Amino acid sequence: MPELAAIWLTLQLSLVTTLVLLVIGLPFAWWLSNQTGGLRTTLETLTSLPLVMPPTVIGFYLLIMMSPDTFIGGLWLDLTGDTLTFSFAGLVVASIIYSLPFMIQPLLNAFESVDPKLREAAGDLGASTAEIFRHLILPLSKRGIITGGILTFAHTVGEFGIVLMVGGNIPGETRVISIALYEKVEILNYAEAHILSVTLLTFSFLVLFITYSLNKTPLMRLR
Amino acid sequence: MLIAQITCSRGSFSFRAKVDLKPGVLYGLIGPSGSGKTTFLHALAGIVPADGEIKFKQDIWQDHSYIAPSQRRSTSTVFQENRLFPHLTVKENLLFAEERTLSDSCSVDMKAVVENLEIDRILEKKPEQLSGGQIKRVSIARSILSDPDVLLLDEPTTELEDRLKSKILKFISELTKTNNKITILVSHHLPDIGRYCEETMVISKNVISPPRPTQSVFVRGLADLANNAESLEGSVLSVTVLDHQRDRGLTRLSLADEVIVAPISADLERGEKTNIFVLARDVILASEQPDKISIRNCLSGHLVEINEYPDGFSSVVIIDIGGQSLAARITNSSLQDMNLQTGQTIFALIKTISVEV
Repeated sequence: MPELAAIWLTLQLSLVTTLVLLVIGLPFAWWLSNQTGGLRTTLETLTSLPLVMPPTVIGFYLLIMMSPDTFIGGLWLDLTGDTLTFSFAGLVVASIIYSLPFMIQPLLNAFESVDPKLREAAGDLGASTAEIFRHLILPLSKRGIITGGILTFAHTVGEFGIVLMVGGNIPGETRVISIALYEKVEILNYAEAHILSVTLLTFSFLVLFITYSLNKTPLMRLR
Repeated sequence: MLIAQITCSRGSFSFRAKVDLKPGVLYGLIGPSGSGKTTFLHALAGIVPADGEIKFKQDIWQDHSYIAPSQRRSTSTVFQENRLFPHLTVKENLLFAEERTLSDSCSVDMKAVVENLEIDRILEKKPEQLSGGQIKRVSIARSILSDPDVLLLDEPTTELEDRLKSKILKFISELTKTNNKITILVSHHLPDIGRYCEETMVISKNVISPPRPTQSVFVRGLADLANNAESLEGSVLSVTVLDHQRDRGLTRLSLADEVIVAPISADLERGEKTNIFVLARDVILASEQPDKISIRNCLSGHLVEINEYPDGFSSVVIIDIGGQSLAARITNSSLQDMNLQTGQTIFALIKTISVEV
């Protein structure tokens, strides 16, 4: 099996991205699901932007934002002694932004499909808002949370343009499967390109198959 | 104790309420469908907004500047529809309520509640595995176990068989008294209200009347409701159990000097006081005592009042029997043929089947 390092790096990146997005996404989506009006629409639009923007556009802005000359890039350099661009940490930041809608939308849908009458009943029995989230909303949203996790993971595995812009092609640091595949094709090594492609294709198929089996509702319900 | 002075508008209807409810009393709340009975309960619980003031003891539940969320109100509601938590077993649903009680002294015991509602065999089941009647019983148990100061029951006994219904309402009535709670029972089945509620509130023409003794509400207060197509008016009579005739399937009851025979109700003990309910349209009047007739119950009394009914062809005649009022609804034409006058002696005939114990 060629490119084991790239495969390993991809899995690491996807796992870290998924975990970070779960930690950020659960409270954020819960808060957002309780909002109404213009703020809600604005934030939902912003989190969904990565769905329609070309990855290169996001990658370009992120590259500029994370460069050592800027506040964020400079701060990161001072704290870690390393640049945020062309590093694994930079890839994680980029993936979080790029995969945001794949976590937030399933969570929002799941939270909102919990019957508000059950929330009323729990409150009537004396449960606080935090207890209602912990004991009612979370367990009843289990499928949505799993769906969000799987989709985020799979989407991160498959990203290309944004990685290329922000991370480049540093083996063991930023060289993920899709970059490795691109390079194989560039140097006309079709045999190895085939192996990587079939691996990704099989992986994607399995992930979506599992998700659909879990969840008989459409993948994304954009409003 | 629980003072509510509120107005509430929801979509097509609105109502006003000004009530002061006392602890230890099981209150009935009756009114036509869609008149706001459920909304009133939800306003007390803090589930729907209302304007005005609600105060329980020293606690302000809401006034012009503050509205306490339902978590801070010591209420618990049995909702009309299934609101059990679907991911929890029956037992976990009950524990959810018990663990979050607002009262410091838990006055109810899980075991007693589970036994009285006969749900001990389904504790490990999930709500989706339960029948409609079982869901109702678990919902009632859950609300009782949260040990609220104010228990709100919204049609709790639909889907329950008669035996269980009597048992459960009796249990709730006892809990209300022994633990000094306030309970409000909404039901469209008037006999339930009549038999178990000491006092009753009526919603009519967008106003919730202050509670009055149930007997007086039933004899005189129901004409307005009847106008709204709920012609179920009747009388609540307080009686004492004499004995059971098991071989004949009958229970004998005494009312002043009279004996009333009713279908057997074996859970009542001899000498126990209970309420019976008789629909006004099930009472037949005679000016002389009839013989050779299948009707077992023939009560003698004095005619005290004749009220013309809004329907234009019938009247409600009120008869005093040993100090209690019995309502009979007869047509105006029989009224004329019999030449009934207030003050005269009259016999009220009631079929055994028509006596609800």
